[in-house]
Amino acid sequence: MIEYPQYKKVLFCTDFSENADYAFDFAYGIAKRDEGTLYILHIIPYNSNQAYAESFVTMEDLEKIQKAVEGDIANNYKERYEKKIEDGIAYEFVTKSGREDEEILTFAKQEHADIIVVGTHGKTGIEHVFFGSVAEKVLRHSPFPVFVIPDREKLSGP
Amino acid sequence: MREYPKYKKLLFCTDFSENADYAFKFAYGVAKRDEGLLYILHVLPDNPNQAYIDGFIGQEDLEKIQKNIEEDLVNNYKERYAKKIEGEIEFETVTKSGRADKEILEFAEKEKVDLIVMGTHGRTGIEHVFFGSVAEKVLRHSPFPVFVMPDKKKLEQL
Repeated sequence: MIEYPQYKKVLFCTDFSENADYAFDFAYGIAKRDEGTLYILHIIPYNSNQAYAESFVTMEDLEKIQKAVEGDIANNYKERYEKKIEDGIAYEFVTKSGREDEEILTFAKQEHADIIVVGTHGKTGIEHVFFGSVAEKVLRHSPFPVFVIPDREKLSGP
Repeated sequence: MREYPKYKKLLFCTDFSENADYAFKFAYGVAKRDEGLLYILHVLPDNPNQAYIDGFIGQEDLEKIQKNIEEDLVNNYKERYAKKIEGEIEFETVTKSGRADKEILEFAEKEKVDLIVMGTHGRTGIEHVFFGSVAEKVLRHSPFPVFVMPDKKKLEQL
């Protein structure tokens, strides 16, 4: 008899896009059903111009920027997700910075996630065209099942 | 209150690899849990040399080949899947031929499935390197959630 695998550690990755919020419902549903822990992970994208910016901005301003970014993230976690989570469900917010696909996989391996849930994301641009979306890059290397949720609009379309 | 979405129509795609069989367990588990209908789809790859071959093989031999392929398919469906799930859930086996990603999406759209389940497949070769696996191509265009199962070996290596 084949049993349905239970997911005790659900890693949900978000870029705070609408698509990610839609994927959240799926991740949350799994964690709730299987009484697992839901990790909500956001990666602050690494900015390749960072080093240049630093030489033009004073330390004081940099700290202000940093604080604003952090405040923004905390607010996003709260408004988008924390409010929707019912009592009794274990969850944890995690923020990393760097390359999204790398950070997601590093964290997943470190925590031994049972499943990774991502949206296909709305990113475009050169990098996306040549190397695929974050979701594609994650599943190319992931040792864990990856659940990829498309844009809601794609689904409701003709 | 957020509920886990139920999957009433599941599309499981198989190339009869070990990895696909691994993904099958998941597809079956979901169909059983949600009392859904499970489509088991295999796509016969298009052979670009077919037209050349046709010129060198007699009609009789071609029919023999065709018959062998069909017997193989029936046997694979039965041994790998049907035997394990008969009487447990509702299922249907479907065979198409052509480009795997295209056929999968066409079928999914026609049947309006709720979920596509597949392995990352074991294919390599030039095409894979440049354009990604069948799974990647599917999720790039899929309007439906895609559940991708990695190679079991990848997990064991951790």
